[in-house]
Amino acid sequence: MEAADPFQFVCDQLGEHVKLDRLALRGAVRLALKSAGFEPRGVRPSEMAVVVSRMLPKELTACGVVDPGPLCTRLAAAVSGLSASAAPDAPDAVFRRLGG
Amino acid sequence: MALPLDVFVLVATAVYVGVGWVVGVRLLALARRTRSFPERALGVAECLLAGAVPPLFIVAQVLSQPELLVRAAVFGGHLAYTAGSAVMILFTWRVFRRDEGWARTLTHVALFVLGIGGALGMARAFFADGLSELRDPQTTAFLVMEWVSFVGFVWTALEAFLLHARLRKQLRLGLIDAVVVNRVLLWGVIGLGGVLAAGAPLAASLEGLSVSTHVPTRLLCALATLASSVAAQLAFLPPASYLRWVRASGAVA
Repeated sequence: MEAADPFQFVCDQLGEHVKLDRLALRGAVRLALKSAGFEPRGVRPSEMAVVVSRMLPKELTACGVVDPGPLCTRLAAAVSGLSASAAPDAPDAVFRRLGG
Repeated sequence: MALPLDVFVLVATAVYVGVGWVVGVRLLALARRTRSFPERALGVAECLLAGAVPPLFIVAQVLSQPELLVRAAVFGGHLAYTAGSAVMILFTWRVFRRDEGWARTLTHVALFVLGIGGALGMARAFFADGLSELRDPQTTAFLVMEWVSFVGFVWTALEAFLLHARLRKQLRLGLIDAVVVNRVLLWGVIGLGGVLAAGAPLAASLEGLSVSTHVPTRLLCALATLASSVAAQLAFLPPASYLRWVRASGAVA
């Protein structure tokens, strides 16, 4: 399985299924990430899947997308299948390690 | 009136030094296994800033003879303070803002200024005339070092509290261990302790007060170092009961 950027992957997939302009789509995904405490850079596939299934539907609804739930469920399953790239030392990973 | 404060300052300093060595050595042992920069930097910073600097400056303040030992303590104190502050700033940059240009620039400028202050302070150990000049805690060189240290602690505390706010959101979704979120909060408390411990003497100096005798400054420094010690112990060498409590109560705020 190839390593991919989960943020880019979700934006690309949404673009194929939702009639919203690219900026609005990316903005919705960014807002969903922010409300879950993540930044687009460095988010892992497993984390992105939770964000997509639990936070993204609300953001898409706010953008006028009707019933985004099923789409987000499919998208969460797809993004969780991505392999995680070798991420740099994220701050949370450092503090996890510092506990020994 | 001065006696209880002296005792309190002494106890706070002893706790700070003890915790500094224990936590520092533990982090260095961890760094041997992981071969990673953050734990090595933090281990060195704890050993130097908490473990070595206070005893060296106490030796310089208390002993009168042999003068060579006093001069060596002043030199060692400035060296440890310079190196400890430098690795602390490097830790903040590498952990929180590794790819940011402004952070790289801030780090380089801070290390440059710190290096100058440290070099001047170390040079005083050789060239200062007499004990009173050697012992002066408000020299320009030391104030420069203290300013850089103050900025470094402000930076690391801000980064920790910002990260903590983000991780709390992740915690609500069950995506992170409560202990890690709490550790980041404790790191912010350690940073805040450093801000107060470095900032109080700077404020006193700006007001023209003596750092050695001004009671509020000494009290604030002692309280800050005590709070930092407790936070460091709980963050990096916590008792199992504390970890259980954090996980059970989700005590992250």
